[in-house]
Amino acid sequence: MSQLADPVILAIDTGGTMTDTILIDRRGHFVVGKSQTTPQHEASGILASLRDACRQVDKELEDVCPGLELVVYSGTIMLNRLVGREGVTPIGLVTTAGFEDTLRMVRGDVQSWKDLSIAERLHAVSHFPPEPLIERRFVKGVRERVLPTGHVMIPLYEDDVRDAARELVRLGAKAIVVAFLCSFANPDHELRAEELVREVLAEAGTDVPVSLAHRIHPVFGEGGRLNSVVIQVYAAEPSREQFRTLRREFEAAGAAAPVRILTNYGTMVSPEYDRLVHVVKSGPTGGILGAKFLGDVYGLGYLMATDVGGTSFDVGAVLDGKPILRDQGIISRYWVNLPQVAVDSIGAGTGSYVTVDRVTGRLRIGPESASYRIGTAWPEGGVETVTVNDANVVLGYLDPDYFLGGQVKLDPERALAALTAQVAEPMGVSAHDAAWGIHNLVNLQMRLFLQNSLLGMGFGPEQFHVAAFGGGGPLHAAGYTDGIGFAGVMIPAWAPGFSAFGAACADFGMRHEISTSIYSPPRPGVRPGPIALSIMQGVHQMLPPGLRAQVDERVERGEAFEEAMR
Amino acid sequence: MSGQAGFEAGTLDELVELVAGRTRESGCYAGVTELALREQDPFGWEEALIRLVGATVGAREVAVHIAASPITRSINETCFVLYTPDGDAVCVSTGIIVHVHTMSEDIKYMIRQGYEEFPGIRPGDIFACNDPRLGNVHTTDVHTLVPIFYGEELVGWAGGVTHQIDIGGAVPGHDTTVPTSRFEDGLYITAEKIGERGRLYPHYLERSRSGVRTPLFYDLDEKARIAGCEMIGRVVQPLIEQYGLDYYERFTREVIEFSRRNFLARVRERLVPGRYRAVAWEATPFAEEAWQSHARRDWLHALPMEVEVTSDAVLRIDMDGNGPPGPWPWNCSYGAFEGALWVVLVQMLGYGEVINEGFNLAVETHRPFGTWLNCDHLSHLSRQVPWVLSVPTFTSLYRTLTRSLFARGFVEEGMAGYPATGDATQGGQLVNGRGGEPTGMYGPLTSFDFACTGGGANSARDGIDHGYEMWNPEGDCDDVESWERLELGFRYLARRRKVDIAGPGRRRGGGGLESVRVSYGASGGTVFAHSTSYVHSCSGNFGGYPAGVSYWAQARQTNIQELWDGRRDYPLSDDTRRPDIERTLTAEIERIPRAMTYPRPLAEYDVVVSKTNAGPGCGDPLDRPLALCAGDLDGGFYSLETMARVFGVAAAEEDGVWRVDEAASRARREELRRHRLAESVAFADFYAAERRRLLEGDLIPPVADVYRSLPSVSARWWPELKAFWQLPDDFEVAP
Repeated sequence: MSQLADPVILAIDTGGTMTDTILIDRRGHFVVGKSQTTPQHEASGILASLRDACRQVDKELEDVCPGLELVVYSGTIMLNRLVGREGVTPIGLVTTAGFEDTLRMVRGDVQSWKDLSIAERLHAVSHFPPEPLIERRFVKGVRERVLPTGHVMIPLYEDDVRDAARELVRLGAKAIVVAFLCSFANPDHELRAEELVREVLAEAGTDVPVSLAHRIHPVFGEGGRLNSVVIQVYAAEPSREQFRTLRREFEAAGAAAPVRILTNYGTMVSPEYDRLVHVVKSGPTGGILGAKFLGDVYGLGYLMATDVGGTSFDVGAVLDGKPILRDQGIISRYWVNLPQVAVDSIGAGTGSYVTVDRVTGRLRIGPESASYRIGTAWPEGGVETVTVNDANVVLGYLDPDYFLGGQVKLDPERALAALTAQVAEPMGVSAHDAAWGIHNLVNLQMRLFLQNSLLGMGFGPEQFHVAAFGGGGPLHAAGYTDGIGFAGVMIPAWAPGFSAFGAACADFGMRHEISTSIYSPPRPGVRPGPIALSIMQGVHQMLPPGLRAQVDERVERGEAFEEAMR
Repeated sequence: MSGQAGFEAGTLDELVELVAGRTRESGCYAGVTELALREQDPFGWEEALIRLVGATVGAREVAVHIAASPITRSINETCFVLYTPDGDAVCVSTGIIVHVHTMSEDIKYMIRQGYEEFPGIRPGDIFACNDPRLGNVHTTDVHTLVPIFYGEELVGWAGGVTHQIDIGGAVPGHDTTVPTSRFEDGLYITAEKIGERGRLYPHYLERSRSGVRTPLFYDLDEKARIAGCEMIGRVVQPLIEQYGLDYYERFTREVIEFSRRNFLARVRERLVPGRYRAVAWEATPFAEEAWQSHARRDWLHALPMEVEVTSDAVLRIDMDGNGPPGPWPWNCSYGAFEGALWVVLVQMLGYGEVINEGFNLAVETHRPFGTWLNCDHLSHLSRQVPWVLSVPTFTSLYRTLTRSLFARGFVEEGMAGYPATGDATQGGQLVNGRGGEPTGMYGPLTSFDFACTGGGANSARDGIDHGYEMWNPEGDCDDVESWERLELGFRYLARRRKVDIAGPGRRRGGGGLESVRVSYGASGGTVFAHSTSYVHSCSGNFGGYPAGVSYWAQARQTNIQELWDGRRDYPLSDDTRRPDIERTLTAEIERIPRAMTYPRPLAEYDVVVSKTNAGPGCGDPLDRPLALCAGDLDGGFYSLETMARVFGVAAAEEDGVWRVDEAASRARREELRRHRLAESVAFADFYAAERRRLLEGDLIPPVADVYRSLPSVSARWWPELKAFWQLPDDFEVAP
């Protein structure tokens, strides 16, 4: 790595604890810098991390920056804004009358359990929803109704819009969102409402940003759409300034390179991108892109990307050279229907707590974890409960003198004592048998999860190579791939920094989405059954007259109706 | 069938008897008194268990991607289970966990009827059942059962279940109110072999698809169940390959015994021994509803339950005091009873354990013969919606166990019960093209808004707001935009929190929703509902109040199009004290205090109000902290009137923020307490007056009917009642 020549790409990955920076030259050589994340002023942590990277090749920041051609950011700036409740507030929402509570009842209450463990999902009294980002009194309903077909059932009551806007101005809204039901199918009402809101703003002599749901996120499903639009206005819009600050800091160090941000679906965009909510959940993307990169290099189109972190085991997939995406998920406890790489997680990582249930005697691993505090083997971490790391230390799989490259010294004796008292003795086995059992069980949990993710997509393992990364990937990969029958397993030498590396592999790309309904006739050779036939007859009646005449003509010539409709 | 390891049985039937006999004799499942394999190698044992549970979870993951109905796809009303060859559940997936024991009954039925000999149980066979009398909950839940073979030997069964959008029958819907007998229920699949060599029989395909109104959803749901069952088999076979058949067979029995012990251990840890009692109520107000003359009556259902926690941690659940079955669809089979029981116990005590037949063995239940809960000998009864009575019934289990948990110090556990499932607005109509859809398409009315009722409160928290349902704790009622694509022509005018229905308390019950719907772009429909009427199905706990009861509101021949054209007010909510419908529409309005109805015609521009029930409260509402009361007003859970009348709160609103007047509220609460004292009656006077009413038969007909129905089916409750009220031995309620 120290062969690094003049670096041209800088990739940044700010996590909750550490900020990784990767400098890459034209031949693909790279170095990884690390520093603590500085949530108050992220740029400081990033520059510190970059200095660390520069030091490894005996250079100064100012030597490196002018040569950079691209800076890619992937991280938690916007998530932190959500978690810390530091976004734009108050936001006013103008929505379809009758649906003012939608933010408080997203599909009823799915936000209260979707990201819980299986046991806690069943244990209903532990379900609590997040507080919505907009107070109820800042939500104003206006009468109108567009149907999923785009048909206007109820016209826009324009006076309602004016009243709502005046009221929101009076209450001091700092931004206004207009979001109507089914606006993805027909945006006319949102567009007209925008004009009316702007008229009111002009009358009042104020100027606050007005955002329309169909422009930001024209996608079916009002609960997830509304959350997505609100997160854009609340957290993404104000973060643009932070990206500009970052760019200015780099400029001050002599860099002329543009700053780009990794999206939730594995491309990179400018901080000025209008649908910036597409970058809020980019965290899991880097690893998938890294796996895709490996696939491209070795000519492999089908990969499972597996990331063993301190808290969780994350699995994503690359199919035919493309990361698999999904259209819904949770961002910081809010349900959204945004495009994102399909990454599934279970609470089984190297820091997962290992306990023996005092009532049933059953061993449990996770979902709670010591996270970056490692386990009992690290006295400074203050952890008293045994973790998977402790079992790995006892087994000799972890070198106590070389954890995080020697930055952290581990105490195997302390781990052994804790493991003996908390697991081995209650279960009536030796400490080493217990450690081996824990190691195998966590591997098994990961293996089943990996297998189910693959089967859930409808694939068998034979075509797939596994990329194993994250701090614990190299150690557990043999265990969690054993017996599945994958085509192969790849472990990058830079596994702990692989996500940041992956961010540097992104292509430029924006995703434009819109929900629509399309009529798809049965495939050739398939004779439509009664339902399909009745749908075809309905569609026939709705065809434009010219097209319908063509179908009728073919039927008159003796062709079967279903053939004429294909 | 060769004998299972340790079980020298010639046939499956003998195996069932052998396992039952050893369980009886030893007190441990199948005579497994030692968990020998687990003791030898606890980690290897745990590993095998995780793989089996993973198989059922994986099956469900895949199945939900194959199904098309939002009920299976989004709301996850599906579940997969692995069974022993004789039909005992070994482990179950997530999802609608009601079915852990139901499919077990199907399998045992087939075994007892000699299916092994004829029509035979062979590799590649597919069986199905939706008959509650043979094991299911209701006909809408369709079971698929696939035998798992290792070589020649039957080593188990995989079972999958999904809830259908429609199952045929007298009227459209999935939980209909109309059937008075089995012959009106719709499609029945009576523990049938429906295919062999991995293919479905053509006669079954024809009969099942043409027997329901939504054949496409039926078809894809069935494919999902078959695929899931196949996946379970594909995990079991290599597992046996690795561990050996002998190990697998002994291991699955140990897993069940392990769960039995764990459940007992959990009871011992969390509950206080003793006898606990509660009662729930429900009404079937069909005097003015039923089409069939024999069903045209009003019924009141008294649903008492006694729970005993014994000193050796066995739960005894006694249903004595429940009445006989009737000509309504709520009759409950053994499978349905077990389903309702387990869904509650899993949420309260078993959520972290391996759920299987072992749980069943750790609980003793008594369902008196001849009651609506034990009437499987009567084949003609309708069993379309046993939930209508079983959901309220099991609120008593929640309430009693919550008291026990509280007594043990687990104050944050349990709930003061939960509401009845409702309002399940159902029906169907044909699309006429005005709304932009292809004309002539069938639009089923089948909203699952009711999957998000309010949960009950406990001492530490308010109930879950519009996010809980007894039979599925993962509350999800999907998006309006999703339902409108399925329920073609039935448009939402509003979906919002419903004011004033959450059960008041120091901790209030969870709020419910209301939807205002209009038929638009469709015609020739029918619509109906089932929900609570007249009586509270669940009281609160510790002095908390029950939630509001439901009602029916439909406006016909409305002028709503004119209102829209003229930009005038139209209905957006249904606060019953000042309803929008009456205020804004010119229409023929039907508003009746019951939400348990037979179908009505649904014409274009009709407006229908649909509402989910809310949760009961916990503790005295006069003790509710004032800051929380302000939050209730802000959140739209209560009106100021209710706040003043029930919670004793004085408050004022400014710019949508409510501020409580603390001094005025304290004074108001004192006044309400004085009022309570003034209204109270000495117990001796109350007792004398009520006793006189009983002796004189001063009871409305549905109440008198409850008393009259009990002597024939109650061995305990009825004599206790007579003893408590000091009634003569030959006491009968006057006809």
